[in-house]
Amino acid sequence: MSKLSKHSEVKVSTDYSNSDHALTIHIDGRFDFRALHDFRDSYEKAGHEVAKYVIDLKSSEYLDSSALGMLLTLRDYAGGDNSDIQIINTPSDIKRILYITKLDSLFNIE
Amino acid sequence: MSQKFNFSFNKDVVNTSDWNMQFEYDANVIKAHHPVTDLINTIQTRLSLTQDQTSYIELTTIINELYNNAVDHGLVALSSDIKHEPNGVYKYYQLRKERLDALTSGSVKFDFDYNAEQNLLTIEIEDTGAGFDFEKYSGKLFVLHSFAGRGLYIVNALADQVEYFANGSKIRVYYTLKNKIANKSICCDILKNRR
Repeated sequence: MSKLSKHSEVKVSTDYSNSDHALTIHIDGRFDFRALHDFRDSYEKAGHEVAKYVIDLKSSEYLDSSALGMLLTLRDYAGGDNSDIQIINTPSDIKRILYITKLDSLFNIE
Repeated sequence: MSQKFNFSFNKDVVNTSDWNMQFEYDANVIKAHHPVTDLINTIQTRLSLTQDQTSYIELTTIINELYNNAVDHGLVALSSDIKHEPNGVYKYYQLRKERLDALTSGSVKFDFDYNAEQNLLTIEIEDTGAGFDFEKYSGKLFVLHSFAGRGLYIVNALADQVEYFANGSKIRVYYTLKNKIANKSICCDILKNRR
């Protein structure tokens, strides 16, 4: 993990897998409210039929309560209780925040 | 633009002495920057916290959530109820931006007080807003699927204790650091060896 820089920004990028219609969203940097629009565009403008969402937090340094709101918004968009959302490469500190807020019961966290 | 800083250190040795730091951000600073990022870096540095320590991310989270709470529910008086609407999180931040752009007065004050003996950091944050329904959003009524109230819920979960004053426009958080006081133990070992 790189150290938080003074002006570190967040980068949101996506991969799409044709074989299982999975959209992977990579969040690099600080996952906070400054990622809002890029995060929403990443799935609303994906331009594919998506059966499964994968959030890759490998390069995420931090996650705040607005990011949790974004994840819940994606969950609604993806079908609520019928959604298939996996959060992968979750750094242990971020995992703790997800557990504290009990979001581990709504998402498949690895 | 005005940013006031007021530092007082008893000694130069990190984490072995008490210290106090105060920061004040006025409307212009709050509008133009997200000053809490630099503030967090300053506090982490003062406490010699490194990213591999649990307290690093816990303090980052606490300070960040407190700041956002003061700006959102204090200075620009947003209601978290918006977040429950479809795409409410996005509407909320759009409205936040509009209100911040229009903001001409108000400030957010931080007071950090470190007690070396107890390894305890007391954080006070005060904004010039009218307060908010902290009973509702303090985390006591937290609902799993809820889009709102998570910020202070996390603060409550991470901190030793949280106190609300003046209708929520002033919040005091007690946080015991989870790091070892490296300098202190080295110092004690040296003393022990001398005896």
